[in-house]
Amino acid sequence: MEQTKQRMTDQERITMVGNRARHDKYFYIMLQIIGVLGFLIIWQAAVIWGWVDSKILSSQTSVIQLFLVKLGDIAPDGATLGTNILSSLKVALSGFGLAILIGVPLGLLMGWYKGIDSFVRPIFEIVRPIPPVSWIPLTIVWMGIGLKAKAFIVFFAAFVPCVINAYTGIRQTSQVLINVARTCGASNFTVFCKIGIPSAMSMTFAGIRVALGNAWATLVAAEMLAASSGLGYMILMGRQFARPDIIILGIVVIGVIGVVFTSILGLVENKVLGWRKLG
Amino acid sequence: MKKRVISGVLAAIMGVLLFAGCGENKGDSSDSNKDNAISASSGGGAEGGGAETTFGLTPFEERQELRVGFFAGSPLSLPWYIADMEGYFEELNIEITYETFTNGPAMIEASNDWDVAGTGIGGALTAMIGYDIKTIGITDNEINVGLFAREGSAIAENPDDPEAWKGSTWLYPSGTTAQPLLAAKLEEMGLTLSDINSINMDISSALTAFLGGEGDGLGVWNAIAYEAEDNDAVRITDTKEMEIPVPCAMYATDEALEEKRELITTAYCVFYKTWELCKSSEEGMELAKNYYLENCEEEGIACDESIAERVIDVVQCPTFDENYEMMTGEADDYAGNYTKRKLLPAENEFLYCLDYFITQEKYTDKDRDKMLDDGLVDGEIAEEAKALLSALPKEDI
Repeated sequence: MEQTKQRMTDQERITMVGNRARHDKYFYIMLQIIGVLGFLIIWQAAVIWGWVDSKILSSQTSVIQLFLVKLGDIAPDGATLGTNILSSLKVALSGFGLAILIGVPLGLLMGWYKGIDSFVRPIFEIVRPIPPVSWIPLTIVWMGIGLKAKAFIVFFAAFVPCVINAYTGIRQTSQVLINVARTCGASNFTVFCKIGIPSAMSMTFAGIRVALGNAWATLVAAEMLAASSGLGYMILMGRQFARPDIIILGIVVIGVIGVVFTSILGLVENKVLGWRKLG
Repeated sequence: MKKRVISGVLAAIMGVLLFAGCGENKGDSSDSNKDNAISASSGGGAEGGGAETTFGLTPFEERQELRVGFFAGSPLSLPWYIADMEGYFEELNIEITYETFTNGPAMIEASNDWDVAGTGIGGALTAMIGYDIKTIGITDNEINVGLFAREGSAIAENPDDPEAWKGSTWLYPSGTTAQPLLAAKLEEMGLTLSDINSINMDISSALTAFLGGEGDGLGVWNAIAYEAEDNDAVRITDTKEMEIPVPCAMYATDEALEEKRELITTAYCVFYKTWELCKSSEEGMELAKNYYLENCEEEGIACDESIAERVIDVVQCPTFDENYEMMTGEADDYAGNYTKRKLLPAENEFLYCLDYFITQEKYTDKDRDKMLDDGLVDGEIAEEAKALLSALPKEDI
């Protein structure tokens, strides 16, 4: 064995390690595929063999069929799937975008400047535990029933993790780096911009991921407020007319769009935080 | 020594009282068993034993629990509450447990948590077509489903002018009676739902938004409809004026019909007889009004004496015999589509709204046939309740 090790060249070792890494990668991809397929098989089997009543859980085939039909048909909820997706995207992305635009800078500023922290934190701590849905009655009075009102509900769901993660991220900035920058004569604002913000980015992106999930999760509630189209509305109509296939289609589409957005966010994160790999 | 004597005498008195107490209880219990034995032999309450209960029904031998899916703020559930508060169930040894809901779909989804329940027609169609739950009675005809416009608006000024309606925005819960009502009104003017903007909202949120300046029109019912009027909304039309049948249903789960049939039949009699009793006098209606108001306050539904009075005035809960007729009589399909058998008059009532939803592709013709083929409007409990009451001595009913 020792002899074999001795006879291996560096190139062979690199190849061996590469092969192992590839093998591991394929193994985990296969596990993911098996997990998804297993879930789908159990679901289909549960419906086909009657473990679950088809009145409460539709089969995949009927959901897929409905998906194809809904691409061009407005029945029974009054809008095609495309219209529903666009409508929901408008609501979810408006609220989510606003949460990033307001939440991240606010969290960073709170984490860096004690004055801002002292001023904002008590209000934030009061607002933080309030469930977004409980804003609905007041939202109607304040903002009516249009996009603004629905985006506001989503905003509240996405805002909190943006603030918390940006805040925590910047608070974890290395004191050594701060001291070095200050020793070199950098102002507090320069240190905030050049050291604090970059080092907070990992945590901030993690917060944005959570915020994205929250934004999608609150979509149905936001569309309960008032809607004539949207994925949440489609789910509500499925409920109204006892159509589990409509409900499941809505859920699946929300899930798939969520995965797509999380992947896009991952790509953006890799692009923005590419410098981390250099370290 | 004196103390010992006194304590001995007191102990003796206590002992005597204790035995006397036990003896009395035993006697009561055996009396009660005697009554219950009659009840058991009479299959839930016809002969004897029930002469002292309000409707002459015989109390159950053992305590029975009936889980009622209760629609908060709706008069269609009110007789349950009145009967319960007046002790009509208690005297029959029935305990009512409420599962309260504010919308039909949620109530139907939670059908594991109730034995009998009631909703308007939207929920009833969902229950029958979506969940195979059987309708066993008609509890109301909602003539107070109304369309409202803002005071001084073009629609309020000229409610029959199609130009005033075109492009207007209406707030109402889709898939409920408000939708066929709105469609019928539009059709009268040569318009359809696509000529207006419909926004789906639950009725209390819709009123809040409407009063906050959103939308041009509102489709709501019950106390919310009167609240809208009290806030200067103008009633354009309603289901009464448009002559749209809007039956509310009482239904029971299959499990409950199997396991608690006798209990359901007895409670069914109490439900209709309670409302009959209320309707029979001004005091009865006053009582119903007060209980409605009390229940709204308990459930946090905006209501006052004036609204409660108006709501109770338009309740169309049938009498026992009217309900029996609807659930057991014969009629032809009003649309002439179903010819396999004669329909129940109650089925025809449901078909009007169902047919509208079929035109909107919310339901299908297959759903229509399923409702009728599977007998999801079921008159058996009405028949059994009739038999139960018929077996009572006349003076007890």
